[in-house]
Amino acid sequence: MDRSSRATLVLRVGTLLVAIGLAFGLVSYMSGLTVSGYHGDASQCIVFFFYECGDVVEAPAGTYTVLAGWNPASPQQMYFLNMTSAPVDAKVYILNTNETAFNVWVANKSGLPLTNLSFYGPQELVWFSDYMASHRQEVANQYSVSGINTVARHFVPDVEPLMIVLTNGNAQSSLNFTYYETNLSVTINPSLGFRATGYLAVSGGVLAGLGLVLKRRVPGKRDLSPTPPRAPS
Amino acid sequence: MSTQGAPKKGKNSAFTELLSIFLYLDHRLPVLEASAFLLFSGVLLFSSVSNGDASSAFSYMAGPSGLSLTSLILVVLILKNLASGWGNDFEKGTMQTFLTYPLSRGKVLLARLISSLLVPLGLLTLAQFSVVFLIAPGFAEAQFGSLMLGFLTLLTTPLLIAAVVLLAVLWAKSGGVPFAIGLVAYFMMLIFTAFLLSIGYNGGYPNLVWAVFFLNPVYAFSSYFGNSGVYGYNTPVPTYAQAVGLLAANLILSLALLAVGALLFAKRTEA
Repeated sequence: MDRSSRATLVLRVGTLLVAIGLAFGLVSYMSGLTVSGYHGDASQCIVFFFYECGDVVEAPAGTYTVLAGWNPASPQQMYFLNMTSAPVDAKVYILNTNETAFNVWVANKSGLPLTNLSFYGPQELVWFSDYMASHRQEVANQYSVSGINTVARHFVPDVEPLMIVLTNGNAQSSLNFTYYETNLSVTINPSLGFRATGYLAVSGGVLAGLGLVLKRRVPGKRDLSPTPPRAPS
Repeated sequence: MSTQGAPKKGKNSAFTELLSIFLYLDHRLPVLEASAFLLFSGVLLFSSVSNGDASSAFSYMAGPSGLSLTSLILVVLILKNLASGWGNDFEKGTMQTFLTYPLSRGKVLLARLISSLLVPLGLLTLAQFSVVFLIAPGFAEAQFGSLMLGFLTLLTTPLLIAAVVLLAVLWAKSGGVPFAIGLVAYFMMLIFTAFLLSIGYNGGYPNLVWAVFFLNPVYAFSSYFGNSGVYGYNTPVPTYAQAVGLLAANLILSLALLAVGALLFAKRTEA
């Protein structure tokens, strides 16, 4: 392989990495902003996040409605965990998804779970409390008793970052948010995606730049393809 | 000793040179980059993991019918490279130039297939596996076998199309007709197999259903996993071994057709 081919190879690998990085960036951007398929008053939705397991999220000021999970019978329907008297300094803890049942825990800043959490959706099946949140297996058993498929089935270890919607609505307005119907196939976490974009774009850009420099330094290359002189007009 | 080694080195460099020409022709800037962008976006947007079991891993790779966006992009790339590229080489007489290289015809074809088939396949492999290992490393490790199975199943349609297009190029020695044949074959696979499957189920023709399972093994696996729109009375449900057997048979058919194409090209004396 001669120097020119090597330079071209470096350049193309660089541009390829940049293109892949752009794909991650675009999809991450879409994941962070998409509110399509929203059933309810989308104007009240202020944040739509994907989080990683173990993330602790500082909740913005206001009263929140927190998405808690999905309808086990129809995973595209999401339930909301209503938090009517959330303190302004609330944090949302996203626990390890490698567990059964719902795994969101809303606590105040000192880590104490909030007790007045109601969980409702189209079927009004679940009542969440701090007890249930800390005894997830029992919650899962309750689902089974209710004749619903096990919730655990829809929580993939390591796969599904729990999706959380924070709205600025109060308890009444959040009644409108009975469920969210959207496509859960967007699986990339924006922060992870943007990190991938950064690494790929930077390394790709460096390689592409290097390839360009190497191409320019190939000796005698320009002389091999001279531009024919223009005919005088 | 040195005189014996020289021709070998010359042949290797001739192969590399020809391969680099084919790579340049098939993947000009920004075709490869645009394809990579589309493939990665397609995987990120449309491939999902709904639960952590083997069927989910299979669905992530192969989609509900194996005819996903990534499969479409792969088929378009194959049609562009093999039908338009290789076919136009015959049509425009560029093939004569390639055959002047000190290489056997088989090696010329091998270089072309590496450029036209293996590079897009490599890109698809990178997209499918890197995304799942990035977003769900634990799941990817636990279900690696099922992911591989799904990936091989995803390849069945594009490989079959590639084999058909290669034969069509060798027959027509042009780009247009093989491109049309490949496109029709793809949409036949897309629509016709689903139609046949429906007839097979609703009309009670189990052999027809098995034939569709053979043509598109995704249906066989979907039926096995019970997660697709495969409905009907007297539905034949293959066992795991049968589904794997159908997949293997389909891949062998595609590879055999590619081998026939390669033999036809290698044995022919005129370009």
